[in-house]
Order: sequence, then C-alpha cells, then structure tokens
Amino acid sequence: MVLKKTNNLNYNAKNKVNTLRLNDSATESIYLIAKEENKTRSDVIRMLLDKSIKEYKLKKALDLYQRGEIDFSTGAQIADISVHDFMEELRISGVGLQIPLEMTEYGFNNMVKLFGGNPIKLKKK
Amino acid sequence: MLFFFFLFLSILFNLKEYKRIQFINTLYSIIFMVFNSKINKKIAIVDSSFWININRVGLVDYLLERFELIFTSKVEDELLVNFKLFYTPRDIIVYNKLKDMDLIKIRNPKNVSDNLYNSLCKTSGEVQTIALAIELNGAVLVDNSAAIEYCIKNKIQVINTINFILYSYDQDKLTYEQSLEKINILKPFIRDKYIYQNLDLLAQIKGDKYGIKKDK
Repeated sequence: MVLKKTNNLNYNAKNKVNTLRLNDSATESIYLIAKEENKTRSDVIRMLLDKSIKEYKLKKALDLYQRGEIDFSTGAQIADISVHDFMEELRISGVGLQIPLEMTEYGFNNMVKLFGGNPIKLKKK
Repeated sequence: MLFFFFLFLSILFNLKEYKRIQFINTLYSIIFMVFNSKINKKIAIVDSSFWININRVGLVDYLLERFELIFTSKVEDELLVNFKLFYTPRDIIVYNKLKDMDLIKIRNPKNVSDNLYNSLCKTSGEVQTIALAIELNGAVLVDNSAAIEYCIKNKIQVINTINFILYSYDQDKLTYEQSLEKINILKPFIRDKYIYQNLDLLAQIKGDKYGIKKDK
C-alpha cells in the first residue's frame, strides 16, 4: 500500500527542513493566516499540511474501500484513525459498509443451519 | 434435600444485608454460568465491524445466548486503539466487561492459508478472524464486504448484524417494530441497497408469519 510507512525511512518527531516554492497568492494567504492566528508562517504551513495530509489519507481510504480494494480495518489503518472513527466517516461520506446483496439470504440461512428454523428465499418483486 | 434447603435459608437470613446481596449475586452468577454451559452454543469469531454494529443495536445479550464469542488479538487491538476519541465507546465498555466475566475469549489462528492472505489485505483483522473460524469450524460474524465475499466464495458460515436481527424476529425474540427500529439505526452505516433488500425480507417474514390477510 502506497500510504503505509516503510521501516527503512526514519520517521521521527523531529521536524525536517524542507524547501518549497510557493506562488504569490499562497504566500500572501499564509502571511494573512499567520497574522490572524498569531502564529509564525512555519506553524501555519505545518498546520495546513497536517490537515491536508489527514484529509488526503481519509479520502484515499474511503475511495479504496468503496471500490472494494481494501477491507474495513485496512481502511482505518490507511486513514490513520480508529475503526470507530472510520465507521463514522463511512456514514458521513455516505459510502456505508459495503455488504454484498447475496448476503441477505446466505447469512439468514446460515443462522437457520446453526440454530434451526425455515430457510428463506427472497421473493423477487 | 430438605435439610440442605433449610440450611441454605438459615445461612441466608443470618447474613448481614450486604453479605446477603453478595451471596445471592455469587449464587446467581454460578447458576448463570452453569446454565450457559449447558446450552448448545456455537463458536463464533467476531470482527470489529460486527461488534460495533451489534452494540449499536443493543443485541449483545441475544448474541451471548447463541454464541460463544471469540476475538483475535488483532481485532482486539483494532477495537481498543482509539486515537482521537475523548470518550470510551459503549462497545468497548461492554467488551471489557464481558472479557472480565470470561464470556469473551481471545485466540489466534495457528496458520493462515496463502489463498486467504492473497484474497484480503494481509494486515487486516478480517484475515485472522476468518483463519481462526476455519480452524475452529466456527461462524464468522462480520459486517464488511471483502470478508463476506471470501466467506461466501469458500462456503464458510458468515453472519452479519442484519441477518441476526431478522433471524431474531423470525424466532420471535424481537417484535416487528423492534426489528424495524434496529435496521433503521444501522441505515446510515450500511449501503442503501442492502438495507432496502433487508427491509423487503423483514416484510416477507412478517407476511409468512401472519398471513397476508392479517398483515393488511
């Protein structure tokens, strides 16, 4: 998975120096946000990057989950959130848990096999 | 027999009130455990998605009546790691309580088949859950697509929360209104098509139970 941390890269809490070029509009916005929030420009860039990275990871996880490429718990891992939070995100985004339609009969009849009762056949409309 | 009964009563009445309550509680839990072990429970390996949903609809008691619940360490880790929550979700409180009462067991599969590894994400809890279910010949309780698809394809017994609700209604453990309410609770968390199909099935079971005339 692309988003997973690899062991050979040394990720630690210490900030690393990165150089980047920004256009005039972004530079001005960062300056204004820093002034508004009473923070340094570096703090503002870090804050915005953190937020965007989280959003990107979540979007990617939801997208992969909806396409059936990953399962529920892997989605939570990729989004870097708990399974409870990931389920909440599935609700908010409207994706929902992807359960195949054949499970309606199959699952019910499994309960019948285990504990008795009459098997069910879904009537077609 | 009568002697023991009177002996029991005299002990009970001679105890101080708080000790009497303690005594009755202990006796109740012993009876509950013996009674539970006598019932033919089926082994079920539970996944995180199912556990969250079954707690959401408040059917853990019914679940315990029917199944001996087993979790894998991986799924336990998934549930207990709450990164950004400022509260403990109800399912975690219930989980810890049941684990303390030894009503939830933790086991891990000895090996996982290559076929299973290749079909699902290697690091997911679902892989461990299905592998353990195969080893113990138990049912998989899961609410997630990839795991369900694998189980259907490989004829492994798999059950989700809505199946459990509908079966409970079929067996008169829940009323129609209760079942409908519980499905509606799950509605925002599960894709619409699946929910509507199950609402149709609920109506169908109601029709089969009471007949079309009474249903009208």
